[in-house]
Amino acid sequence: MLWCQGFSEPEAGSDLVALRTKALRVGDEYVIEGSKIWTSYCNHADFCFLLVRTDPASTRHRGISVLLVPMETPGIEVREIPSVVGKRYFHEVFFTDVHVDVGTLLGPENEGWEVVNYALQHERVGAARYARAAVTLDRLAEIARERGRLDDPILLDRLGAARALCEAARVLTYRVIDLRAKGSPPTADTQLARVLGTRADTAVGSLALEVLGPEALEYGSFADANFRLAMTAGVAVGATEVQLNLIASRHLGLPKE
Amino acid sequence: MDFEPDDDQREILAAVEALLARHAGATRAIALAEQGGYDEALDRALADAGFADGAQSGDLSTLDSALIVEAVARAAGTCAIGAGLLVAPAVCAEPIAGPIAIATTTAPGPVRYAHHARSLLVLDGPDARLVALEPGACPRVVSNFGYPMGAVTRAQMQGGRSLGPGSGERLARWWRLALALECVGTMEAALGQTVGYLKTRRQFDRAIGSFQAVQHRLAECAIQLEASRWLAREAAHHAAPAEAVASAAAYALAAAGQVFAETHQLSGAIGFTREHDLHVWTMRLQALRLEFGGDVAHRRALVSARWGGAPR
Repeated sequence: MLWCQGFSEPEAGSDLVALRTKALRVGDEYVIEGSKIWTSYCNHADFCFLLVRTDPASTRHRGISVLLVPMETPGIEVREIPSVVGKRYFHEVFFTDVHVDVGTLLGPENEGWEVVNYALQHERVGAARYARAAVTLDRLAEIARERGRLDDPILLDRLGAARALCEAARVLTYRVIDLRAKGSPPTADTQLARVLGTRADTAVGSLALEVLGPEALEYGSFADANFRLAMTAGVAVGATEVQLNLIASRHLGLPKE
Repeated sequence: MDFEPDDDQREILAAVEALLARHAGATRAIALAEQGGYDEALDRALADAGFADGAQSGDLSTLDSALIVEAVARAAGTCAIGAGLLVAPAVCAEPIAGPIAIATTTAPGPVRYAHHARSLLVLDGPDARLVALEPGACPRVVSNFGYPMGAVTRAQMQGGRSLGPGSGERLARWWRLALALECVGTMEAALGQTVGYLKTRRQFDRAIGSFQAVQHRLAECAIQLEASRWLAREAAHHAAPAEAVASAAAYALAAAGQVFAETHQLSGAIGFTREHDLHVWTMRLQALRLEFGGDVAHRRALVSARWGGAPR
């Protein structure tokens, strides 16, 4: 079973709690109106983990709920957003008079922000981007050797730096998994790992262009495919700047304005 | 590896921290640095408490030793704890006289702790050498970089005896680990000092640490510190595999450059003064970066360990 996440909206990106998609309770049903954007894999998904505002008078963190919505429900329309990241990568999802059973509610009504905060803490280290980057990097080193470029001191230095970065992201991710396994409450360790995971990904994506040179220009080539996947890393799942905000407040205890 | 210290480790750290509260700290480091002195009292206190060559006696795990090295660096201890606790036990069959200095034939220049050293470990290609020294045999070198330094001659490096086949590789691995761990403790103190200062220092009617532009830069430093810490501890836990220590040293020493630059930039002019303690740690970071070929050499070693065949 494949799930997609109906989180971001055109007016609620990094500032997720600005979301407007609403679900009004009518009898035993919620009626959903609104739209989601940047929803990866929604064209293949069976269900959507959907964030909605169930209290129309609410603002910000209050009044949000999580609904688990079957994607085949009438009134849901998926449109592709063409992008340089690749075909069928970004989508917009429109909800027009979508009726779902109240049983689709996950957790308490109007307290979905707690649910999603918990889920986001996991999502931020869930996709092991550093691991994919490390595999790609091994291949790049192999290509560099085949092409006699392992005597280039600048390239060696970049390979070394990228490898250290992948390892740094790995060990911070292990640390988060260890904390979760021991049942500790979410900490900013998640953000530390997340930022380095994206850095490892983008560093290797960019190194792929350097190692492969003009060959990378062909759509679908090894370097092109890696570069395209890596280029979104610092934006997806909450921009790096949002992670840095959280590290500053939760990890370093720096004051707000 | 267990990422949480166990009860024994907590106990060891508490004992070391208590000892460091009496025998280390910025004020003491500054006083010693003014005379280019070595902290023999701290050495003795650590030895009396059983934290001198524990890995050799088998009482301490390599991770225990790593945590102690980190703590001593954090407290700006002026003693050759990394060499004594991690490096010497890995290359010498018997305990050797401290203080212990470490030098390499490929990087001439002032050597940390050499002026006071009774033992000199030398990385000489595939071999490690052990050279017995009279304290003062290596002339003092005046340095602004926070550690007492001595000049080691080529003749001194070629003296003593070889520590046998494979000793050079072992010395390089454990030296890298010790450097990474010292870097972690030192960075932690430098960053902690800066964050503390920026929480209270007010300009434009608000704490400087409340500006997002400042917060992001400190957050970046925190990421570098924690990554360096866990890479180094993991490498210590696994008894210093070549690739892991090269990763740890490459990462930590590059991070040290960033932490130096950001903590000084964000602390403003006061950060350069002797009355403000920041320099105690930041100047040491630069000294650590210059030891053993620096982060470029560690990245080179990492490439070699990971993918082989890279020219040295």
